[in-house]
Amino acid sequence: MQDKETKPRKKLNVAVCLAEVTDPEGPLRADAAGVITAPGGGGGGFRLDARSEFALEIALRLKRSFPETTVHAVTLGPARSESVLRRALAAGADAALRVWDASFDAPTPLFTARALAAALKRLRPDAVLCGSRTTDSGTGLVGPALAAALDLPFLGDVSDLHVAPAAASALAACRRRGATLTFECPLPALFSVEHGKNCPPAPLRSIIRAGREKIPALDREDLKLSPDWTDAPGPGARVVKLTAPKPKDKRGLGVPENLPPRDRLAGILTGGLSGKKHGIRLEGAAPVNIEKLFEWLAGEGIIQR
Amino acid sequence: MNERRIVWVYLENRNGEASTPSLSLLREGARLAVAAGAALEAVAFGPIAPPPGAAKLLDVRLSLAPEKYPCLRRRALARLAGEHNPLIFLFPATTESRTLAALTAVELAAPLAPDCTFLRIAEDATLHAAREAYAGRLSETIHVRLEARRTAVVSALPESLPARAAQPCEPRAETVVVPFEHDEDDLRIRLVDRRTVTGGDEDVGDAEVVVSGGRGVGAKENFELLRRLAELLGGTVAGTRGAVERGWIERGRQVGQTGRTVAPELYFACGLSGAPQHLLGMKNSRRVAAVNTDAHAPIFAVADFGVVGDLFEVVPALIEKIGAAGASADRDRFSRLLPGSR
Repeated sequence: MQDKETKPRKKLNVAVCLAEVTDPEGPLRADAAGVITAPGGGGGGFRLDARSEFALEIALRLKRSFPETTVHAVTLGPARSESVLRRALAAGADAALRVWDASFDAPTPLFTARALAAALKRLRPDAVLCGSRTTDSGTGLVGPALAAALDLPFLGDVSDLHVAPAAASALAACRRRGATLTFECPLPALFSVEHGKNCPPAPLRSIIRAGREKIPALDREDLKLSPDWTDAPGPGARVVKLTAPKPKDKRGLGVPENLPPRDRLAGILTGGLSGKKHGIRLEGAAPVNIEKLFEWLAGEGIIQR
Repeated sequence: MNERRIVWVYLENRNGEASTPSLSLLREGARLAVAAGAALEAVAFGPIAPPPGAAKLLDVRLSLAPEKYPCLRRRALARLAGEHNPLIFLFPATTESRTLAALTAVELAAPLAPDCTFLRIAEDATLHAAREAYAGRLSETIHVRLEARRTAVVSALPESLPARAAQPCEPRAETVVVPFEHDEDDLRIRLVDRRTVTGGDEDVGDAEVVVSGGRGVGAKENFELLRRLAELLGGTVAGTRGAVERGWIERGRQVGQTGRTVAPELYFACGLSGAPQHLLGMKNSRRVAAVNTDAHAPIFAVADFGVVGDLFEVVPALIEKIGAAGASADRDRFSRLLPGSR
């Protein structure tokens, strides 16, 4: 649909919101207060979130396909978070912007969205990209809340984006239930990205150049956020603690709940919570193993003889 | 303002029937409704078979197809929830509905507890929810204060919720048709093309059998072997991030933390070690079979049946064995095996 008020554009201004997350592959603990204690300190144990990486990749692909594109990488975080912006600069982003204030402690998704929106209003982007949710404790709220704060149309779970030079709208691809759906969306708009490929490693020269860049930072005063703004009551879902996950009690048992109690008990006693941990494991001559594997598949009802 | 306490469950409409995850969630919704002293109601778009357990089905009729205009659903749900004021609005945390829950929460300025694996209403009228965070390595506990005039939006993973005894069911839900008139703003984004994913194979998220390969598969052409096995077992193929990055299999078939999350009846892992990021995407599989040359591969820790061996010996021989025995995928097997299946 062609928005009547938007004109065909010659330049494209893209903002990609990047999230820095605790490295899910590194050692991870939560203290008694539910605060993540990441090892390394000083920037160690943190990385660019995978879906943010996908969003960055799409932004850079737009830059390659649309001649006059400027890609702004934006993040909300302390000085440590500059590393994700430098990564974006090394990969090909044109500019970077960090948003943070000493009073921004443990920002909630809505807080993040509001602060980012205040910064993005200065950039006046035609397209805003972000990851659909982060891999740490992502809620999937930042994208929709950011779109609402900027009063932009929102399209979620995007896997690709195209903007033709003379077009006033974008074509966004989304994967849903075995199909790729292409939506036409007037610009400006916000897209949250679910799938993508990984950015190819940046050349060493770009990494060195990005390392020397001075990255501007905006604080509460720069964003003209009122002093009591951060204390405004959120909509009220509170994370109260983080713990090691408890073992699952249902999926591990695999005992149909519609069985009589005696059979259920028998199933629990024979299969039990640790059933998978003590699953059958065969070593040795392959023909014998294959025969047993075949029997198991038949016994489980996977194949019919 | 409606002061009657209600719990809503959003039902995904799949060709006139509620999706399996939505139906599984109804039982959780019924339990929460009992705990909150509320009535259970279901909400769906378009005609749908009345669900078991719900006192009422709100059948929202849109004037245009929601598949074509993605903004319609969230606007309709937010408007409807704003009028009826449910205490809790429960969504299945599927690819289709997870984002819809977040959008509805934003439209309503309501609290959101996403991707929950446990739900309980405490005595102080607080909803206690648990969810996995940090790639499943930590569990997050969320508290949402339930208030009469503010809806708590919750998305939950039905396959991860604890088993619950069935609540007494309403024999048949009363269906109330609710028309929704859209605004011009709701039509700003529209569908212009729909293409089935190339390859013709079933989507990994929908498949009951997933045969998955990792770096041990060695080459793109070797995935053909896994495809043949998947075909015999009535399923589809998938891969690890390593296999996807090497271009052996398309990205839409990547299972794991940065790919798809699957919960098939059988997950058949071939030549993959079972890195934590991969296990996160398949750990809810009902049965796991694994073939790997490394006896210490982590995949064996979650496998119901493991073979320590070369997949290029085991898989061709298994294919031959299935063929020689005249065996075939039992297409109706899961409807018989699934607990509580319809």
